Parts: sequence; C-alpha cells; structure tokens
Amino acid sequence: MIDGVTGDPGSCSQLGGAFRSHAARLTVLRGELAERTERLRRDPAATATVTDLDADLRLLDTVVDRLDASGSALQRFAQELAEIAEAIRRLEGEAEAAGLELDGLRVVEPWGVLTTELAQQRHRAQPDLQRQADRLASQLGRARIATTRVMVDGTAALAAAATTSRTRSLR
Amino acid sequence: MTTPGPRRDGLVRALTAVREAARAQADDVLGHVPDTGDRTTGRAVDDFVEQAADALRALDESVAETLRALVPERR
Repeated sequence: MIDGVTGDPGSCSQLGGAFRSHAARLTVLRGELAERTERLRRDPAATATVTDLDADLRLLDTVVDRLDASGSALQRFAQELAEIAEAIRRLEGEAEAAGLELDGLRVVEPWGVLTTELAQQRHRAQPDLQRQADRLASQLGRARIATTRVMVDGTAALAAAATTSRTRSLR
Repeated sequence: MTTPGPRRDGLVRALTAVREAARAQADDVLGHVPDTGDRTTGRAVDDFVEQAADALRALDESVAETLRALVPERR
C-alpha cells in the first residue's frame, strides 16, 4: 500500500505554477510603478508620494521574490514526488514478484501459509528491496526538508514585510 | 502633491492595477489544495499560502494608502 506517501504531485505543481505566474504579473506591474516613481523623484513637491511609492515597491519586491522562490521550490518538489512515486510503483512490482509487498516504504511479507521455497525466496529478496525502499525514503525526506525550508523562510520574510508595511501605515 | 494631471492619472492607473492584481492573487492562492503527502511539509506550505495571501492584502492596503494621499477625493 503506497497511497499517500508521495501526495499529489499535480496539486503541488499547480500551486507552484500559480505562485510563479503571480510573481511574473507583479514584476510587470512593479516595472511600470518603478518607472513612474523615478519620474516623480526629481519633483520636490512629490517627496511624500515618492516615499509612499518606495514603501509600496519594497513590499512588492519581497512578495515577488518569495512567491517566485516558493513557486520554483514547489515545482521542483512536485517533479521529485512524481519521480519517487514512479520508482515506488516499480519497486512494488519487484516486491510482488518476490512474494512480498510494500507497506508505505517498508518491504513486508503478506499474511498467509507459505512453502519453504517461497519463504527462502522472500528472505533472499527482502534486504535488497528494503535498501531500495530506504533510498527512496531518504530522497523523499531530502525533498521534503528542502521544500519546507523555502516555505518557512518565505513565510517569515512575508510576515515581516507585511508587518513593516502595516506599521508604516499606522504612523 | 502638484503632479500634473496626465502624470498623476498614469500613476493612479499603475497603482490601481497593482491593487487589483494583489486582491485577485490573494483569493487565488487560498483556493489551492496542495497534497504534499506528509504533515510537516503540508503545514509549511499551508502556512506560506496563508502568509502570502496576507502579504498580498498588505500590499493592497499599502497601495490604497498611497492612492488616498494622491487622490484625496477617493477617501
């Protein structure tokens, strides 16, 4: 039974794509806003507006950076999940051929009466299959850790930027 | 602010476009239901989604403030 180990790579890829597409759209809008801000910068009467616009641009920069970074991370993660899911399916087939089965990423013996020959066949095949399963578990663990780190860093950066922006508005 | 009309109008349009994008994107990201296959990564992704939506709302609010100062009658 391997359902759930690798989640739904499609849903992760979709969210990653949405983040990146939103970042791209905001980058275009940022470019126009930055250009208009630069034009105003030399006008002494527009100092307060330029200060406001600079703050908007700073927040935009953080949002764009973090959406893009998290989008890329999620798309990489989805790709890895899909590859691992495929490898697990192959391993499941190998385990089945040896009279064994996968429970998550553990190679186990199914219940039931068995012959001596089948028992020996299982015992010969089990260590190698389990090593393959362990490698996949490590790969999955590394992908999860890398993705989680990008998400946690992004969450902290966005929280700080939103707080700074709202604090500024209260002044 | 003494920005001439056309220049101000262009700025208002640019700011309004940012507000609209920020609001739409905040709604969009909250509509996704990613399944990462494990609780820790799933929670980190969910937290990021929530925070991204909040930061986009903060962007909308910040730009709204700028617009209010620029065009007082929009209050």
